[in-house]
Amino acid sequence: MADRDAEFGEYLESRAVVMRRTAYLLCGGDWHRAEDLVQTTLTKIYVAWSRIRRDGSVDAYSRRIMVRAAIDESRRAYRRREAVVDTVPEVEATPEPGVEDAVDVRRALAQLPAGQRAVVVLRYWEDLSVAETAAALGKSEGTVKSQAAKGLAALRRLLATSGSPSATPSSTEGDDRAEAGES
Amino acid sequence: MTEPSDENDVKALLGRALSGEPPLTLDRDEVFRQGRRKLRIRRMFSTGGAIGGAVVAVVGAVMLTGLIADEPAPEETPPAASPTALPAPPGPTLPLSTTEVAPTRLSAPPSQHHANTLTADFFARNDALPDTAQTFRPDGKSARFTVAKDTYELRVDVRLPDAEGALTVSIGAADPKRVAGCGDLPDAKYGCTVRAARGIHVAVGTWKDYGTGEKRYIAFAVHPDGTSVTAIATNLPDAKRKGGLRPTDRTPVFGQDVMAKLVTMPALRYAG
Repeated sequence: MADRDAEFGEYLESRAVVMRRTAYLLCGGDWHRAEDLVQTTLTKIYVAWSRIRRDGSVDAYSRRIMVRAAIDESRRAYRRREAVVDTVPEVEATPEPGVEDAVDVRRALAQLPAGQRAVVVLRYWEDLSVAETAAALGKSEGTVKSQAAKGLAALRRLLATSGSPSATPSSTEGDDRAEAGES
Repeated sequence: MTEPSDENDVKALLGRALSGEPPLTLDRDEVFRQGRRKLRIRRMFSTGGAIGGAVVAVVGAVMLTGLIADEPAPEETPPAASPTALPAPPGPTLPLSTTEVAPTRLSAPPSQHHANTLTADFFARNDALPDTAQTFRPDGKSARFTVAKDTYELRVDVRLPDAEGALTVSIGAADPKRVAGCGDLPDAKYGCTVRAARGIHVAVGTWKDYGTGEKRYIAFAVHPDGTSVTAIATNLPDAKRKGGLRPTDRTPVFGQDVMAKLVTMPALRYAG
């Protein structure tokens, strides 16, 4: 148990900040929910530590747990009631450079369906391959390709209509013929 | 701003959403605490030790003699949550004191001395289990609480005149402010209710394995002094489990009311 605690403690210290950033994007831009998500994920990692440490699959397990928890949470009605799209953090009257950009990106992310958002985050933020993303989400590679394309198209559309000077992402691997399978 | 044309541009776009990142306020101790609790419950669900000659103890009788500590000394644990006691929730027969708890009591590691006390109290002052209940420890040793890392554990097979099964009890320390709820029983996938017993909130859940026919009732309560008690009753004795046999009875050896009463027994108190 002492080994478990020591090893897990090191993992927690080294990964918590990075995990929270991914969680923040997965839940559509809410730091409090992101931190809850990280806490839930870390607790599950602690329980499974011996096995996943032995398998060398800690990060893969972490991503799988976090993304599924984020999607489950997004589907809950009480969470939808608190959807970030309605409560974008207040922006100062004279915002710092880049703040408006950040709000626009958050708002756009928050409007994506949770499953589509997860694909975008895993593919483009976590730099996972299509196969790795499919494994993390328990979806087919075709679905991942399709949702990645749709997610980027939706982001581009949402950012364009926001009137933000933000960049608008272009699809890098559109495959609209692939299975749609929106979660 | 230029339009991104590759994956790096998309990554940069997502990175902009992180602007204004606040400091991390993750409760590290709570992660460990919750993780250990879930691990404990998971272990309670797993099969116990080897089956040996059964030593019978009749619940209700004092049967403590010659207890020997054979578990390793507990390790250091992170500081426990604030032990400040709260007034107990309303109830007709609340037996527990609501006075302040000594600050060190619930943060001290488990001791063999207190394990012995718990064993004596559990069998001598048990008003939850029927007098006809007989307990057997599968490894042939005396039925008693043992010291785990940060808990006291009791695992016994149980025989009633008309039923059989197993009972596991785990006693640990929790935040006294914590109120038991169904969220504390993630393994109770077949129903959970919260009820009051002795003026304490008790979460009671159900777990089933349709393959083997095993059914378990899980009860969890946090006493006003911060003692947390988890108990699991099943219809499958460890002796049968080890033999690959299926349960004879359809329901756990103790009902949900008994389990709620069991986890709120005043004698089940955590101390170092």
